Amino acid sequence: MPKRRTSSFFMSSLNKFFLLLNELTDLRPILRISNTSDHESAAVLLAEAIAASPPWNFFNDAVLVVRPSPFPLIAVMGNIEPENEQRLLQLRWQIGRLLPTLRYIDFSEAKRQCTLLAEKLRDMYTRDEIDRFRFTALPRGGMIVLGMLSYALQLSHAQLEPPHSPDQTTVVVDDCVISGANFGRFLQSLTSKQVIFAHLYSHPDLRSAILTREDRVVACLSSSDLEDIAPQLYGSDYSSWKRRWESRMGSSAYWVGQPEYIAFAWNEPDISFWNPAAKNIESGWNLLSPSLCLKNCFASATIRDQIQIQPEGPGPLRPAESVVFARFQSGILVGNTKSEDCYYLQETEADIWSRIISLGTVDRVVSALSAEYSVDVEKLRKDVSAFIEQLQKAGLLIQTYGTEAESR
Amino acid sequence: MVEKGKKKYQPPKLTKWGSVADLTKTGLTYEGGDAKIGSRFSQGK
Repeated sequence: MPKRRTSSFFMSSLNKFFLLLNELTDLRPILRISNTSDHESAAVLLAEAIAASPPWNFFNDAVLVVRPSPFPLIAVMGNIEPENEQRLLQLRWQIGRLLPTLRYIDFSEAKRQCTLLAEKLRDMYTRDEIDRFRFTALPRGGMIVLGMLSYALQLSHAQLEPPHSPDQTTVVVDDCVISGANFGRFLQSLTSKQVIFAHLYSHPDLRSAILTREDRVVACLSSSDLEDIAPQLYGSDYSSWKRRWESRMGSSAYWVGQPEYIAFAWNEPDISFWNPAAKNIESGWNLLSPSLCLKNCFASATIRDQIQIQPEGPGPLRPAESVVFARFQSGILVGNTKSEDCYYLQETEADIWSRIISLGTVDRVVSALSAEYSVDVEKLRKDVSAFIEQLQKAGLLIQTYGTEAESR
Repeated sequence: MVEKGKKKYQPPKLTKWGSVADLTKTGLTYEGGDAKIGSRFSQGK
């Protein structure tokens, strides 16, 4: 718990408030794939994705805030260590660069892609050959695809039930293949002499690389192609980015590229990033809310509790447009994104701020607080008025309508 | 002397606590990003 007004708590290098999303952030990809029509709800969906992400578990001394109006903001406020600062920079990069490339595959599109994949297999092999094949799937998304494909190809139970003889050709099914590392590992566990790798999405170069490197793989096909957007994503850094990740992935990757952010109703892609402060490769952030992605749905049961939705209040006294605030430890953090100053309100100050937001006028604030505090009402009125003046000077509070007299 | 059932009053003061890092500003927006989509790295070793 922070001590009141001690130099060690105030203005330490850890005390930070990070603004992650502002009115310029493009939330259209989330609006497009959700049943949401307003930007406020889209911001809440994104905040839910953040709270359901593995890196959020590192933020033990910070809070996630959504301010819905007048335009949506998302912020993280609290004591933020250098490692977490890097995680937030990564998150901001994902929101700014990857989110606009989001390609969302819902169950209906997945069904269409499975039908295409089934047609490709029927074009390549006779019905007798398909009936002799055995089918398996890469956990976990591949299993969903195999379920659909088994109906599209009218597979028998026996074709899906292990054990399979090494002499029977095995069709390995997956949803999306990017580096191929998971497939490479899975292949090592298969005893089949011949393997067909059938999936919904991959880059053509990845498929060629698998066929070149793996003698047992006799066919590698996808229902649709992915494009490599790494050159445009990394610009002049592209070549060094590719070298770095080829070296990091080693022989486990068949291909190093960056396709558009393809996400399914059941899963979104794993993302790894280099955290220079932790000097480690870490898991990146989710961009899909649990309501849009089955995997994230089971990530955390308490996601809603971890997000603070900033209240609007009735006015006329209201937080300024550039202000984000949140309950933090025993007080309230109030940050001004314009001046880039952040304040920590405790005890009386926190109570005054909360009452201003919920009640909107000096009279109502004084009346509410005089019932709680042991203080002369006129002194309280004078102090509250002076404090409000300070808050206005710091750009934290504004009077949104009416005259000054009406705000009293 | 604090009245029974009421909190002790301390005059309010506005004290600076920390700073805002606006990651949405130009120049900071796309820092980071040494990242790769695909199989989780730790599993891919």
